[in-house]
Amino acid sequence: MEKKKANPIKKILESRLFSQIMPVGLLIVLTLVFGVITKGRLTNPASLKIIVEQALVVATVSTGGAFIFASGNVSLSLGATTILTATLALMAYNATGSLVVLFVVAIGLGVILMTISALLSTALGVRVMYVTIVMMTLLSALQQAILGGATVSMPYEVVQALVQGKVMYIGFGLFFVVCVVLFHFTDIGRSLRFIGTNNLCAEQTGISKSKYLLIAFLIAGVGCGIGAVLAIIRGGSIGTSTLPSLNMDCMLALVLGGMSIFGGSKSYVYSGVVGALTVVVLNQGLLMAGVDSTIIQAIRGVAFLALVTVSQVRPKGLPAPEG
Amino acid sequence: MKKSSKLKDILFTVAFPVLTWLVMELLCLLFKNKHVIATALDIKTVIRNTGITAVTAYAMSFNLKEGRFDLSLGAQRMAGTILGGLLAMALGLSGLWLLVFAVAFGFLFGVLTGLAFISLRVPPMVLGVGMALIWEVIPYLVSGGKGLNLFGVSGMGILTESWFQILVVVIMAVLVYILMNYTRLGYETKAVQGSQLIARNSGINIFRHAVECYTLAGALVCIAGVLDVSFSTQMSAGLGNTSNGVVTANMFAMILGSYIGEKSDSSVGILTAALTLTIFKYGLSLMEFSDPVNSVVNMLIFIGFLVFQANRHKAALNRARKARIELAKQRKAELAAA
Amino acid sequence: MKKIIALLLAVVMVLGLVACSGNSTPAPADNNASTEANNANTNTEANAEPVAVPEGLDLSVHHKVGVATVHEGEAWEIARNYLETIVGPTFNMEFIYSEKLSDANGLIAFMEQCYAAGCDGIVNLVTSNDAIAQGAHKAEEWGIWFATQNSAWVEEVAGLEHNVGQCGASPESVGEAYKAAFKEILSDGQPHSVVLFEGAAVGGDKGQGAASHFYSAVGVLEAFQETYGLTYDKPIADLVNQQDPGEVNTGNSDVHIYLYPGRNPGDAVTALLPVLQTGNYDIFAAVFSFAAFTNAIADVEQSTGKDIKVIGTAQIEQQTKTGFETTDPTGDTVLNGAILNDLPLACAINCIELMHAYNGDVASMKDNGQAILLGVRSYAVLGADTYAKAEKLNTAPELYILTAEDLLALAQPGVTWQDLEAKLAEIADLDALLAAKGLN
Repeated sequence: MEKKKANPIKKILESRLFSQIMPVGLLIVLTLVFGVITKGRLTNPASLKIIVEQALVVATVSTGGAFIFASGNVSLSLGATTILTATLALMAYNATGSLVVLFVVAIGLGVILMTISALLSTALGVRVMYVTIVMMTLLSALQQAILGGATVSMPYEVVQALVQGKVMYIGFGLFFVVCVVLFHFTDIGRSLRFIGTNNLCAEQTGISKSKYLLIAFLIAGVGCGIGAVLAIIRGGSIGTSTLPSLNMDCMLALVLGGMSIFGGSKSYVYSGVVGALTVVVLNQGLLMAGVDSTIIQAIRGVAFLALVTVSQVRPKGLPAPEG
Repeated sequence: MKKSSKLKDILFTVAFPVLTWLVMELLCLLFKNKHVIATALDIKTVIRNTGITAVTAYAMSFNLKEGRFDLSLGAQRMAGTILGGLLAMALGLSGLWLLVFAVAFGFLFGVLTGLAFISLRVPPMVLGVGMALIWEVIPYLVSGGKGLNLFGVSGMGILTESWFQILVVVIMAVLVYILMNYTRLGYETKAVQGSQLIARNSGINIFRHAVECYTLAGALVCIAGVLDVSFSTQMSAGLGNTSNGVVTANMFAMILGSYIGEKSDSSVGILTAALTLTIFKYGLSLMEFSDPVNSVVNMLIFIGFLVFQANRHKAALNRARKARIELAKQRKAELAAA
Repeated sequence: MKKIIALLLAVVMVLGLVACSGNSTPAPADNNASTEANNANTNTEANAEPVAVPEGLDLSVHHKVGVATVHEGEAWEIARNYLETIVGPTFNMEFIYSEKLSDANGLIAFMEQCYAAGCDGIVNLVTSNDAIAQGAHKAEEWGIWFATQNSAWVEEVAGLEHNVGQCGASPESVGEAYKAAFKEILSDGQPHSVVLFEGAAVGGDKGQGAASHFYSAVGVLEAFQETYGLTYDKPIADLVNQQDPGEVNTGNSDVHIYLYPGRNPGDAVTALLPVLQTGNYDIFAAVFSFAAFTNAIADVEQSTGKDIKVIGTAQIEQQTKTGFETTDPTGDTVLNGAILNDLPLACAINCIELMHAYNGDVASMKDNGQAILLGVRSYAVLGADTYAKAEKLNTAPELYILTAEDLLALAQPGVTWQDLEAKLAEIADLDALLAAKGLN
């Protein structure tokens, strides 16, 4: 029987190496292209610092979210969790004046909220897709009920002290390193990727889906907590309209950063960081090139879909129902 | 026997709105000394809100039943309604035409989203994020950022008439009923709901079917948009991928409707669920719950319902298991006695 | 193959969109381009005569200004058009506009983009003290000028060198306008009751909500208190700062006041409909988006047969005109009173402040080194006749409240914030303003 010759382009596009290199390569190419178009303004140190700072909140939250995505599940409530956490943590800080309280409440609440989401699906059997949508609506309504029309803010001197102390970079850096280790060098990451690759097979080899999904949500909760602190430092205040599209931005970042939308072996913990940076570079570069901010949104959408299409293995049928 | 079972089903369906009304009536009388439905205007409001919720839930159901959650549905609603409205106003046509144009645009956006789905084959939620980013820009650019403003525009009165809204919702309910029970689409939906793979292997063109679902969802969600804007008079052309909240808020009606529909039909179930939830929310408003608190209460009940739905078969399974054991024990005892 | 086609299509679409966008944002102008040329181009578009540049006013340097907006819709488009066709060409400024923003995070992100894009000034319309404080500090850090629209003075950042000043609907004047409008309506000796959609009033006196909304609500409550001698069970500020909607205890069973705080008119309509249906209320006031409530009010009027008067904060735009010209089911006009704020005027004041800063004269815009708040007076319009005259404002270059000539006069060296204040006082009287524009 004659062996069917594989399409070399398809082979490259679907290779593991391509999925690893492509997002990083794209980020570099975009940066260079816009650097040239803007005559170096995008690539000067001040602009690059701005780009990194703009990406930090999304990068942190989506790095935690990568654990959920790796298991083949999608979470839409990461943003709502982060903002509610930020609101309550900042209120706790204002009540006590203690930064320790701010950090403890932020991380604690992030973990608690994500644990509730996880338990709803793992212990109580509700589909992850439903849980995530309901939690997204519930948490933002809860934040609105708590805040009303008001905002809660942190004194500027404290914000400045945290900025000077590089807390944003330290917070993100520590979390990222821990996530890299957990995702790529421990059973947690391997098991989640296995579940994402083949849920049934994973369970049959003794991997408890419920247990690892709970762990994934817990790590994502820590990410939401740290992301909440970063959002407070960055804006100095939190209101009902703070970071309104964070839920979607995290998904956008993960996918643009090369995370397989089906989870599994082509999942990388750095996807959130690369994707968040790519979104900011694209926004910033187009704006500097004189493109209207409205059009930039459409370009972001088209680029997102094109990249998803190119970087994923196209199923023969339609994507599976869940997600 | 058959008759009594049918009556049971009818009672089960009717019980939801009636019991909700009774509970809310009691609470409103107790705490605020008010009736939930006191005037003809209350009825009109309930009809309108039920209509918007039901039509949105119908739109969601085409895809959600098969496990696809389209996050661009809100953007399609916004784009279709605004473009339809602007076109009708530019041509000096009445509200009826606004509805026709909005549905036409909804069709278009639905078809394009469906085609994008079967061409790109990325998961629906991921596709929805990208498509929403694109669809949101169109009404913004076309309206110059102004959105749609029907305030004071003549000829739009028909859209706010109760009889018209009832007519639209009833037509939609009948249409969905026919589509789901007497057409190829309904047959294919049931097949794909069971297993997409098996449906495909048995000869169903799941690609065409998906496009049809997206198309119908786009058209229906724009009808909900028109019903909404005709009363609120304004629809802003918002950007930033935040347009889907208004659709997601109606998911409870869709899920509850599917449950109620088990005893009748999902089209009847969704309409009943929409009425039930509208009465519930209206009651909470009368009790002066602010909108966010109202949403929190609704979502908590929704979570409770999801948990119930995910576990409701467990009790029956346990009962069956116990009965089996009991039967076995009985048989064993019989055998031992013999 | 399909993937490659998808990619190609995407590239084509992106390129198409970029090409389309070329018209929507002006390409960065040559820094050395002469002001005259710039003026000539855009003034042709605006059908305006070129205006002589006052001596000592340097307009040779092209400035890029980021405009962070919270607005959308027709009123914003009018303001944007004014910036593009009058202010920009007159001051040799180019504007970069944000999407609709709502908080400090959005403002900071937009400012970062502007700074990276080479902007040397920001006009900030995000009206929360937190956002203003964060934005002003960022601008100080980068050494770019920062002008703000807000009704409350943000003392925390007033001393920053690059904070050139604030201007906004004067809270007192909005409050006074509401009070005056209500006093007139309540003056018939009959008991009246109101439902007030107070928007972001909660915390408005503490820099958390919107100060203008807060003082609007205060104005309404004061008018009722003074007219009927009401005894509220709490101080007025506390009543306005209540987060939950509900009826105020007025101490008079014939007078009802229902306060509804909230930022979403759609939700408010649903929640307020049953309240209006009780038939207890004959006035409805909205600190924004009055039009969203008109169908609900018409339904109630039809159902109860009682007229409900509507008063709302509005801009000079089509929907305000429609409100004054359309009748409700009882035969009264849909809109009975409007508190008008002029967005282009506030934008112009901010740009004048920036021009002084660009010309090295920022001190003239400050009071002993402190940025000050310039209050733009709101106009209370209580009838279709007055509005018919007011609506002609902003419809031609010479009919903007501040014309190109005014802009140049106010931007020239030697002009101080007191002069700006005097100018604002001069145009504070609507009748006088309309007369000056030949619209009476």
